[in-house]
Amino acid sequence: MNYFEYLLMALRAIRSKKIRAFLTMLGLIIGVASIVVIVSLGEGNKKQIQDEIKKMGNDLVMVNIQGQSYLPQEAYAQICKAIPEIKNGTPLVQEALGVQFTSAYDQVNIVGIHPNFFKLTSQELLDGRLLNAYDFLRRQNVCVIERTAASQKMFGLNPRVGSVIRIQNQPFTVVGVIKHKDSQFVYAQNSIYVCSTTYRFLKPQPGFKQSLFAATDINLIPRMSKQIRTLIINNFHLNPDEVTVQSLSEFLKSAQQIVAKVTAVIGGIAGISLLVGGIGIMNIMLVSVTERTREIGILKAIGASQRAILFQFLIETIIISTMGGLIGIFLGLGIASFVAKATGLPSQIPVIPSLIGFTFSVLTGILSGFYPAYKAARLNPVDALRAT
Amino acid sequence: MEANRKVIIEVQDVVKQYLMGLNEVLALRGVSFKVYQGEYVSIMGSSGSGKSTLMNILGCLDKPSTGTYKLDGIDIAQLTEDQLAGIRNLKIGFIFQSYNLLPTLNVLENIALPGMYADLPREQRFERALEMGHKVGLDKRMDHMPYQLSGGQMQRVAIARALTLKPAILLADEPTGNLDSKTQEEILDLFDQLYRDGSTILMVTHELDVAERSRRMLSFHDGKQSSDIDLMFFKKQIEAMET
Repeated sequence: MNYFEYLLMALRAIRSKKIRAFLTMLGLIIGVASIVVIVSLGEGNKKQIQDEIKKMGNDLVMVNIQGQSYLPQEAYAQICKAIPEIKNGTPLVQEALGVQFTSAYDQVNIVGIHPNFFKLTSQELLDGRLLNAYDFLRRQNVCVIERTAASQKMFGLNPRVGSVIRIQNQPFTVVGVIKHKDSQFVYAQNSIYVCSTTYRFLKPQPGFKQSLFAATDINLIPRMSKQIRTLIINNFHLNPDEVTVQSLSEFLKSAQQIVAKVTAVIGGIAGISLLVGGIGIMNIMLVSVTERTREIGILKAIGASQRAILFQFLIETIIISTMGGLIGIFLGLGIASFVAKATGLPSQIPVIPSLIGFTFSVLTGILSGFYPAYKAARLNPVDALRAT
Repeated sequence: MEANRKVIIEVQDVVKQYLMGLNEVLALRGVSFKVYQGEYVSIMGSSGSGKSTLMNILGCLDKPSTGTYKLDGIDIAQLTEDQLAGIRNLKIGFIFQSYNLLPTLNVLENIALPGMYADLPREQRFERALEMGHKVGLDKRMDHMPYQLSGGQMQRVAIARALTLKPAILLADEPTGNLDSKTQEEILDLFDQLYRDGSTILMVTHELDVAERSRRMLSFHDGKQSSDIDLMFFKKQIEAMET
């Protein structure tokens, strides 16, 4: 069989009913496009999370106490002493408190930490110095501020190293400025960092709810997480439900898994529209076979074999589904990059998902086109010729 | 004299019965005849005489219930559906009452279509189609679409399509049934010309004046052959009487 000739015949049949062919394709176009959009945004998101893991450099274990309970103030030191795998760490308390600088006043997120924090989370010092062990032990009224566009806006004036700001009406000297960095630990932008020992006097609390620990060796992290958790539950009598101990990479990985799951679910829903598109193709091809019964009779009378008829109809659905798939991919890529630009979400050009969507579209076309084509091929020529 | 000529169609005791609803219809009740190469035969009969059923069997679109049918020496009963398709393609040229052209193809492509199923190379198909188009007098209409043609022109396209693979026999089913009398004469003249060029023609009709244009007439009545008349003989006699 000369396949090229059959291709030309099929193209001609499709061209003679353009609108119908387009409407038939539409189901597949929408299906493939939505799969491409969803997967490309999902992949972009996953990649963003991966990049974040890479950027982090050193992996940390994060302890969170949920509900009403607190870890007592001395807990941090006790945990560090009891578990040899811990290299260092920091408790973490934070809350929005009133801050005054010259005549400006605002609510700012105040973070109480051990000086280790800066190293653990790789903060970049822009000016002055970081908090140190002396500040921590002597409960010095010193602070480190973040430099962001927002901090200038907030205070109206730009506090510098040496400036004195008032937190909860207590004077604090700014000793350093760090570059703002998005992080999982600090809740708000342009936070002000003070020693956790000092923080106690700003906002009396029964203890702290968060802390971070670094391991002496990155491979020890899973074991260390377990030990910390057991120790907290046993020594401080907390309900196991209230204690989450998670390493940062684990946390990001689970975030990644959630994104992947959501992507898969939405992608699956988009897949349903492909299925619907396939049913549309089958429907139209069945109508087409009925409409062209006489034509099939003529072709059989002049010598078309069953195989030739089958192939002729099948190639029509293959063309329709291939075109639908291709249009769908390009439409999907267009929408994905538009959405990515409009929302700032990262997007990836999803080569493999596009190919999968395309393949699935063509497969749907072949599968749903097969029955009508088979029906056409098996028509009795005498009956087919008698059709009007 | 006939013993020396090649037999194209050999029908022996052909019976065809089929179910129409719950009733069994006996469409052909034992039909036997031969058609030799180069003959121009018409099959005459009113509707219900079984001539359409016979035509379907002769055209390998249907098989006899009992009896044998040999086309160009090949026993049709032994063939599979795809082999029958091959026979229809290469051995038979169909000409229908309603032309049966493909509306999406132009004249040239319609004529060339059987060649596609015979796997002829594209150039050869179109070359031959042009030749056949010339033979039926459609040189100037090769790029027309069927809807742009008159009935007579469409039938010429159908005849050219039937001729394109040089079949053993042309089967024409009421070829002038849809045409006015002037066009009918033109088409029958074309058949005459094909006959003179050596084609074997078998034409089904219910009109006596059409049947009389052939050289031999088989009459059918109620599923059986009722007469076999050599029209050449009569024509010669009439000529002799006139002179």
